[in-house]
Amino acid sequence: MAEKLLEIKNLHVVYKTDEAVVRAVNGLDLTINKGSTVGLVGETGAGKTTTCLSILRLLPDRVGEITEGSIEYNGEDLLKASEERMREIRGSEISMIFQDPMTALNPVFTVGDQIGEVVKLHNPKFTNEDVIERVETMFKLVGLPPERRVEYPHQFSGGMKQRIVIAMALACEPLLLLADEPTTALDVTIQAQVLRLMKELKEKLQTAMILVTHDLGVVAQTCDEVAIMYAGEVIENGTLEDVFDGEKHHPYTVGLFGSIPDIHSEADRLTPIMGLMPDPANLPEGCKFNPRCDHCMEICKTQAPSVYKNGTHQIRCHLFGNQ
Amino acid sequence: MSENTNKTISDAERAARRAKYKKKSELAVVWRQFKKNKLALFGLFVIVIMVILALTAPLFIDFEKDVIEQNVMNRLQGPSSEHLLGTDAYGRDILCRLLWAARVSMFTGFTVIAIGIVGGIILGATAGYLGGVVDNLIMRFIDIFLAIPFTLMAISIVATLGNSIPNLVLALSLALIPKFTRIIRSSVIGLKGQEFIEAAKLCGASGPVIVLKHIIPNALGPIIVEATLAVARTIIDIAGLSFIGLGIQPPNPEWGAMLSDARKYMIQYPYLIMSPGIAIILTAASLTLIGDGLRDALDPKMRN
Amino acid sequence: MAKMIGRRLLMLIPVLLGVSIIIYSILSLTPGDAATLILGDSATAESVAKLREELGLNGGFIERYVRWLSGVLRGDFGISYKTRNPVFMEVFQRFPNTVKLAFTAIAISSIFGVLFGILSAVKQYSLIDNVVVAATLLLSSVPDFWLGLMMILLFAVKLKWLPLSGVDHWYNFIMPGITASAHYLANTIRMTRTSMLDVIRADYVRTARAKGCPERTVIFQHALRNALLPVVTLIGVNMGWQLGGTVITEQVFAIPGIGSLMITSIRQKDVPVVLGALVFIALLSSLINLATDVLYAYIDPRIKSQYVKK
Repeated sequence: MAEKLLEIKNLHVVYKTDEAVVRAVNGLDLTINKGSTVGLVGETGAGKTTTCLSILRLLPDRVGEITEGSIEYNGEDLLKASEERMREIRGSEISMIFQDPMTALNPVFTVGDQIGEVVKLHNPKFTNEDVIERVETMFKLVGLPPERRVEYPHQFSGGMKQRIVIAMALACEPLLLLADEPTTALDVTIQAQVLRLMKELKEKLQTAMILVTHDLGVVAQTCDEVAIMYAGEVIENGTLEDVFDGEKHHPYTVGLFGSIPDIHSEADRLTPIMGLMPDPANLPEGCKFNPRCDHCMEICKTQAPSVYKNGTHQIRCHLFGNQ
Repeated sequence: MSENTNKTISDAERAARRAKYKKKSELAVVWRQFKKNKLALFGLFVIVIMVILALTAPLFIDFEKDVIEQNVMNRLQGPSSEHLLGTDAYGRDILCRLLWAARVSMFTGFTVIAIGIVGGIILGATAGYLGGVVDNLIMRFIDIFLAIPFTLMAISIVATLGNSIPNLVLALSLALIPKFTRIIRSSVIGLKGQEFIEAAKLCGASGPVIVLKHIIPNALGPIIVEATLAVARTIIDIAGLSFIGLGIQPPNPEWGAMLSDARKYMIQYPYLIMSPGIAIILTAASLTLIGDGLRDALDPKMRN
Repeated sequence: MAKMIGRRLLMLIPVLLGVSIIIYSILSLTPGDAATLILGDSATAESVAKLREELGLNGGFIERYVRWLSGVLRGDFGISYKTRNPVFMEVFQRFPNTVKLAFTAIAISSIFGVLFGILSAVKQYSLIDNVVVAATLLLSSVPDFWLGLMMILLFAVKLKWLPLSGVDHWYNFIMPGITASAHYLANTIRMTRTSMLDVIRADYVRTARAKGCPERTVIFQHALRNALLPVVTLIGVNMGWQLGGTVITEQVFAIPGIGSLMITSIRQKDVPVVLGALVFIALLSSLINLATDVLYAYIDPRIKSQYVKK
């Protein structure tokens, strides 16, 4: 059994606005083992980014709030850690790659300075030469010419910027990398390159990773484990084989797989999941997927399903409730 | 072919109709948002009261007798039940003069803005819609105007053409036109490429029609916001020019001119300079609150 | 960079030419004949004609304008009708007072504007923020001359902390400085606050937090520099306007600056002085705007790289 690095239990996150309380994450459970990659899959608005931000405690001030649950990192509850301890962790032990590389870099500082900053912050004893050396190593690692470290973000292309962001996230060799749709904003050809790069570096540095995506193809290429999220909950999780090749699935997972094109199938059309994600300010009773589910039963409308377990494979659905 | 054209026209019509529906519900949405902002509502309340008072002033104030006629016997009396805000150095009731001055300030202020907007629409829409050489020419001209500090320009216009309300209006609106030209030009450029404009063009609508019927109504939001804030500025500027003797001339009441008169006596009779100043602040602040409220109400980002 | 400055200087020439034409045309509408005005109605026709010749009043509009402009280019702004001194001297004598006043005002509005703007953005929705926002509304709605009068009443008459008028000491410029800065201060606070609020929510600020930067570094390094970009432009524009906008303050505090020179000259129909003062200030504010743009390019690398070739 692999060693646990991060264990999220029963996480609840709300966003409070003037008009409504938006329940973004509702009792999420997730475990990440050292060195492994977990794919966090779900539609826009499922609470994937919120989960990542909660781990780093970077939810927007005054608006976002963690109301319940725990996030244990190496046995330490991050939700109870001091702000100072969190700053120590951010960037050095757990770091994050944000969705849009175009806006993730500060336009008025050179990219080298921006990578250097995180190095310097977490290695106070480093001299300037050490920092520069480290920055140049990182540049080489992500495949950029080190002499370009004195340039500004606007002088790089999107794919290069994402490489810089990756270099920044990995500069302190973190134990856990939160990658929030790192390739969504990039061209398809660049996507493959960046993914390959991330996989290589991850293996080289022994970093665990949560890869947030809505692209099942990306998951198949990169992840060891998969967690499918819906309306702020993990509704199915397990190893890559469990979720991709297992016999039983949550109806939502079935729907997700049905909505991606398959070269080998003869189907004329894709089968999308009908309906929309429920409004997180006004979630349905019982199973949150019930209004869109083809297999919806009476019990689904009143009672939240319990977890069905089969080895490493877990499904939250009444269909398997009795087994 | 003819079928095709018909289809395009109906598409365009649909787009236009949609724009119309959108506008109506848009207004309701803006008002709903605006209502949430208590400060902006307060501002609106104050301005509405002021406009009503200013419009109805002739019903309960006699211009010759209450506002102009001097009464040395009553000069420089502090606030009392008979003269709520006291009397000025010529024995005239300050409250009556303040109310009459509100008429002058508001009338001048709104006229200035109206001219500024019309001028801005003509220049800005022409520049933005036609683009190219015309745009360049108009915008360079605007740059030139912006290079002259506005107070100085207004002063020199009033000074050479003579002190009168029309000249004051001319001077102040000349200063506003460049500002509105810029705003309208950028709105027009932003809207020009949009599909419903293309659709209107396909219908065969001419340039001026497109600008007036399709572009300007859609650019109205920022114009109204700016206009509200500009009225506030203009009222302060009118007072400033009158204060240095270049605006509205005595014995006509105007807040700035009243302050200018009161200045000589302010050390012994400070109440003289209080009320006109507070009147200006109240008006300008209310207009600013309305402008800010409108800006927020029109901003889709604030709507959640 | 030098190329950019050079190009901008070149672009300034048509603007200033236009400015001079507009100002010259407006002022040439001044009613009455200057020579008759100076010599009085009793002057003989010959002496009036002679003076007209001397003052360069003969010839058509274009001829007069060209004559005046070629003088200006040689540094000769003409002769004051009233004092018979060179206009340039008249303006230059008053210039230091206006500059002192304008720069006091600029310093007050920029320093406190940025400071309170940041404070209120960082502490959004707090008591401080509410107070700052309310004060901003008040500052932008108060007529500057009235604020000046009230300060005179309070600090000069009642408390006797500050002198009523005068220009000889630095403290003479406190009240005028505050008076002239009121509206600009309000603008600067508003702009800084809005800009800072925008930037605080930017992705790169979140990146900085995710790196483990302490809050102070996040605000003062990552956010502030970006937030100040639009504020710098505003301050530059303000500076230009300030130079021309001190007229009313100069009147309130009886400061002998360019503004009061203009008002006096307008009353005396001393056209060359008004003309000279206006052109002088327009030139100055254009140069200040140019300087701001250069500074802007320096702090925003995105703009800089448009002009600098590697």
